[in-house]
Amino acid sequence: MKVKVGLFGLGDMLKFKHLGDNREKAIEEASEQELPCSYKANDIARLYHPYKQYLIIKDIIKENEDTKSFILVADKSKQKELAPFKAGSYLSIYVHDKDNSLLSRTYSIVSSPKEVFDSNEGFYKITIKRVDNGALSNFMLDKATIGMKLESSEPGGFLTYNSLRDSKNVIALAGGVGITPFVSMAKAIVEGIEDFNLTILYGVRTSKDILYKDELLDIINKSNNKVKVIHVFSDEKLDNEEHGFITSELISKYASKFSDNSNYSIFVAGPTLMIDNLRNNELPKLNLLPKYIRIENSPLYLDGDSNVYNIKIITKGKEPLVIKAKGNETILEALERNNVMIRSKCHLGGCGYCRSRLIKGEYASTKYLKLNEVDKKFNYIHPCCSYPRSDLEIEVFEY
Amino acid sequence: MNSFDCVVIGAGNGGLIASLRLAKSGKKVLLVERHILPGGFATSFSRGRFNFEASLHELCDFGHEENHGNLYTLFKELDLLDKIEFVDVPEAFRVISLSNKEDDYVMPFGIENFINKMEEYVPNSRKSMRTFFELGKEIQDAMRYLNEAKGHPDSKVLMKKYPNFMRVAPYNVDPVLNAIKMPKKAQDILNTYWSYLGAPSSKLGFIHYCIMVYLYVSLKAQIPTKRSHNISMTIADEIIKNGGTIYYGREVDEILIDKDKNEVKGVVLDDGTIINTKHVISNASPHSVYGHMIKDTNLIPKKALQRANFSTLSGRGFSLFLGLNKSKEELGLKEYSYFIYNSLDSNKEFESMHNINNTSQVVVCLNNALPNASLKGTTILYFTSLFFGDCFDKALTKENYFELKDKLAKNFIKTFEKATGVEITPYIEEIEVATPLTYAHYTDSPDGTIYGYLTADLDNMMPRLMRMYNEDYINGLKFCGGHAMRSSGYNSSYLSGDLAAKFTLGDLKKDN
Ligand SMILES: Cc1cc2nc3c(=O)[nH]c(=O)nc-3n(C[C@H](O)[C@H](O)[C@H](O)COP(=O)(O)OP(=O)(O)OC[C@H]3O[C@@H](n4cnc5c(N)ncnc54)[C@H](O)[C@@H]3O)c2cc1C
Ligand code: FES
Repeated sequence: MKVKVGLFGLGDMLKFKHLGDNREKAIEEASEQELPCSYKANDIARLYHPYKQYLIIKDIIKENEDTKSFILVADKSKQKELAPFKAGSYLSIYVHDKDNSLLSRTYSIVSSPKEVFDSNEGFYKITIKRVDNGALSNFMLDKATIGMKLESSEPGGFLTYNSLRDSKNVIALAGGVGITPFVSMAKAIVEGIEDFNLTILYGVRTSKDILYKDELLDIINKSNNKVKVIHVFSDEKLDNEEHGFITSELISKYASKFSDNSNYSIFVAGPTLMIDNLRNNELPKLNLLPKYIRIENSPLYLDGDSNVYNIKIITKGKEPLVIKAKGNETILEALERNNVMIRSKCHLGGCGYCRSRLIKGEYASTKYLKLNEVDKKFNYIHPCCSYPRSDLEIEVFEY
Repeated sequence: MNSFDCVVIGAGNGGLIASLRLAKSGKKVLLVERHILPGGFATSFSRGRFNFEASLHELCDFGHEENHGNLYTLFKELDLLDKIEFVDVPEAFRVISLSNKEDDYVMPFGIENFINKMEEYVPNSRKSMRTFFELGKEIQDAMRYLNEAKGHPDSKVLMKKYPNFMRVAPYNVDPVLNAIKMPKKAQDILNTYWSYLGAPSSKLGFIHYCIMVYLYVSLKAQIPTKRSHNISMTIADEIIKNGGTIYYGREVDEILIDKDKNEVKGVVLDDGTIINTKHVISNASPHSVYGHMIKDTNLIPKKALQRANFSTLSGRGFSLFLGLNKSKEELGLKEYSYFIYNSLDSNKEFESMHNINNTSQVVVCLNNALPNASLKGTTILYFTSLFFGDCFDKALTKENYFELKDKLAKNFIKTFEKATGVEITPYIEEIEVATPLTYAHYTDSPDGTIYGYLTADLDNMMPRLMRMYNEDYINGLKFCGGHAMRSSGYNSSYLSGDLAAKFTLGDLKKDN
């Protein structure tokens, strides 16, 4: 075989030899200008996925006896703008307590996605309900003041609408403060950012417990029939209102009212008791494909071990640190109590943000833990949903 | 304490292999990765019931014990082989043209099978196809020789043993395929893989393309059974077992240069920690290193800037990941990889990819190589495409990102359905979209490019390799990964990490 590409075979050989020199020449002719230090895609990537957000409480609104909302704006000394989000997303909020410990929890964003771009000053609004013995909720309700600084993750979460995946008709099942992501969605629909029909079955104890009553009424009126809210009172019987718990019959009843009467998606957010009941008893009766059911779980706790263990914490480039951890607190909580900050987002065990490496010891995780096979094989753990069951040694990645 | 023989910036494929080679050679190596996972693009992620592969379609240059390539040899040398399970991909590719319904071809692995199938589709293509694969073999041998000659090949040996290699090496794909009289249609089908390298046949070096096709067809393509995340995690684990150190979630902010000696003297991490070292291997691009990691730009030699400016950033990545709630049989998806183009002419296609509404795509149905890639009755499908030029920037505003993602996803899915006649939209249970912004976020690659520098003309793999011994501009600073001497792709980036480590080992010897 003899392959000739140019006119003269021999010329090709010389050409090969000159290939390096020609490259060298072309490099010598190239520009000497400095290289860009930023790129548009990278800049917008940083806006959408900031490493950390630095926020200030601009306002506090009392919603009812045990619930307050917080308006969060960017701490301009550290961050120009807030990260945009899809309606239905949440933030992991970090608060530094006075005694040099740290607390982090997840809260859905109630404000509309448009409001981060507010020309006056972009903001997030989150709503916090007091949880008995809850560390961050009690701190925020009792001690947080206007002007206080806090930090947060980028927005995230999977209870967001996707027109390719979800039905055009969505039935939201909200329990208590679980209404928050749906308020944001309802606003986004009215503002034309999202386009779907949203019927919210809102489970509350009594009419006193309804959050965002006026705001939702206003949204419904402006929504051109796209948003509906049906209150379901568990502890109160009112004329022309639903009573009891959210059941499959109730869901079917309202699903049949969508004008095109076709299929529907179910989005769920609320307390664990409600979610368990829906997941185990009510939703299976509807015979929906898994793709039509999206549930945002609430944190689970593993009780039953009141021992205190030692956790040796390895952070590369630093001296190891030994901390005490209780058998009934998550490893993440123990880390934060000792002011060791690692990434977190969902606080449930599924997003992988808190991923850390177990070097030695036993632990137990809640059923929401999601760890891929490979991470399991290499002994990675998700401290946000894991509890020590012996002394531990772990490697964490500081945030 | 804070001093290392070498600091590797970035735990992408290149950085991982570089670190492992150094650690195995007994060197004190520090690998710094800004993300909390190793792998760069080589990773996986989960949504609902699905565990998606983030990037890998198929490994090149790997193969099996009895017939293997350089990547296999490298993994064997580094004791990685028995730790990761691989399987073959079933066929070479199916290519479909949107503009001409008749252009729909499925090509098999194996040189004879490939040539026979081509003859079936394009009568009288056999001779030129055979020549093509013979050239592939000669190129493979010649490259081995060049590698062994370490930059000083004997031109007599080259002329005598590898004359055809010498003759075709200076040319791009089109002139060589024309010279061997390959029918146009056969060229079009053969050029299908061009988008894996991201440069069209008029700009892409023949050597590079030919060897890639030769390796895929002769060795078949493989994928790991537990996603590329398993490869990345295994290499990272081996680095630690061999005494190396990895800092995750830490960024290298600055490379410190000794002005008088024009040599590396250390790096500064994002928390201010200073690490002393005379050697840095950067898996981050020269654009990033010279653009923001050397703070006093007077310390960057003019030639280094010229070298970076001489190159063009490659295509920006777009991917779409679908978890479907039907089995591949129910859907009617028979092939593993689908290359769907507007036309089979790569040069026209490359131009089309400068438009944001373009939807040419490479789609993988993972379950056709790994039946258990997802739960029974479900299927994983992922799409990859490239945007060239600034069309993505132009379409993107600060406010419209989510909308843009939805719009692009819809376009790509519609095209897939039209090309294959397979309906997938009603069965989407999970969907995730990655855009240049996503790649910029996870790896900090400039503009979200995913294939390093464009392998065009004098920046093709061959000229890069020929000059790799001469393109150090700051003593102690080497590059690996998609922007380096072997260009992008898993095999190339792994092999470039090994080369960079070996060069550094040589330098370390000189230090003492
Ligand atoms: C969707 C898609 C599909 C693909 N399909 C294939 C395929 O089928 N076959 C194939 O062979 N190739 C494929 N590729 C290409 C292949 O993935 C890449 O060529 C390869 O991964 C490049 O590796 P790299 O070594 O350049 O590292 P990269 O993955 O670019 O990693 C660079 C690393 O450096 C880190 N870093 C950057 N700056 C810093 C800093 N300052 N400090 C610390 N860390 C830093 C980044 O976080 C990143 O981890 C595909 C790519 C994509 C995106
Ligand atoms: S914070 Fe999401 S897994 Fe731990």
